[in-house]
Amino acid sequence: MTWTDEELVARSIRGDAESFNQLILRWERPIYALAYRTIGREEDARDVCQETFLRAFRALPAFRGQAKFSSWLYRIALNLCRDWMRRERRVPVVQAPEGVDLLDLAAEKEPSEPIEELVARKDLTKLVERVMARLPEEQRTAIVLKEYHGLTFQEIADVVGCPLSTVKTRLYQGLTVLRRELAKTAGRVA
Amino acid sequence: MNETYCTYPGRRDETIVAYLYGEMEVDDRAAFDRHLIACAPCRAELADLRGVRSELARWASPELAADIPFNVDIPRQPVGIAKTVNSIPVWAQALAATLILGVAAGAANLEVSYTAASGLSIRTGWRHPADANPARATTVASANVQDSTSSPWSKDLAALERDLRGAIDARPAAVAMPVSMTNGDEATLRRVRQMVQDSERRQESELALRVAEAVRELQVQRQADLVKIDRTLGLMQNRNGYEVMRTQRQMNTLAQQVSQRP
Repeated sequence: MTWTDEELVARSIRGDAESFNQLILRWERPIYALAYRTIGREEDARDVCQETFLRAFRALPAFRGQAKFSSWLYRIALNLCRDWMRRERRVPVVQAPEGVDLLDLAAEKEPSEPIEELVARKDLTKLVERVMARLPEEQRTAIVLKEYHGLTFQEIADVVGCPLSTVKTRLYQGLTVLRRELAKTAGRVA
Repeated sequence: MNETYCTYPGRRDETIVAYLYGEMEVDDRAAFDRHLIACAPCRAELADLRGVRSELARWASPELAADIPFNVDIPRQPVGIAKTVNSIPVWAQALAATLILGVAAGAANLEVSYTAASGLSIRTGWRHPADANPARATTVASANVQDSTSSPWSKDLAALERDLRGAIDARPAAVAMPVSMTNGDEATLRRVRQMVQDSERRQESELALRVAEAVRELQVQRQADLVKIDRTLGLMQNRNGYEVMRTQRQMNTLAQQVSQRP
């Protein structure tokens, strides 16, 4: 039998460890993907993911079910990502794609071009990641939650704690910047 | 008709986004559909934004190599009175209630009597011992526990107490299960190995990145040094050339002066 999140939460609160295990199995990948797309580092995304479940577990008795469990979990994860970026004082990073020799790349790049840019140009799938990393955090978060997690505007507003219209504006601004940047970089690649 | 600039009366940005993601009321959508027929800029922008969305679909996050290790012991649930009571069978609860009532009545020296003259009378407390008035022959019940051995149901109470204790002891203890994502030692070992491999790969990648940066900086520095050396050599050559010219000019002047002498 498949329990709903809310049922599993209720059972976990009553001390059923297996129910919480099921919640972890159900949500660890989405939370990891959210953390990875927000901070850009696999290892740190894993840490954030683990910490998210730890915090959720500790705060479970206080979860009243006003929001969906997943929204609550997303909010915890995003707060942790924000803490990570504040602590590290860094923007999301773009890791080198597999099979790309950075030494070879360095030899053929122009001195004025950052190596990350060159990596992004070499691997077009990394290009999006690179451009996303340049977006302001709130625009990036809105796009990630919408595009990769399929949240509604209202759910995003609940997760990030802002009005519905602000979510739409952030999405529009973020997509517009992406459109411009992708066009610019694509032009350079061509 | 195709407009060259947008005349949409509402909040255009929000409407475009809502239209793009299909989160719109039916009426609003129909209205914007009508607007799109006439508005070329909105049509073009929508097409571009759809293109951006398809680009975004290319960005896949890496697969989670293994389950997130999560080893936390669930703290033992506080075993409160309510929790204990809930886990005791109903018959045992009823017996317990009777026992408590009996003991409480005895402790309070409860005396219930009925006489034709005064009717029902309930007396409690130790100021009026139960045997203070032997005339009360119609005592219905007395819960005086002073003489517990003589009480007719003291044995029953003791038996009930034993039953209750037995029931509580027989109840299976609620053991807190640790939350563990591992499925045995082998799985844990595999996961740890995977994590170590991932970590090594990342470190190698990071190192390669730093080395590449260092190489690039070295090359830039080398080029700058070469330019500087070139420039310095040029300056030196210029200076030497000037010195040679001046010397030649001086020698010419001297030669002329010598030749002009009588």
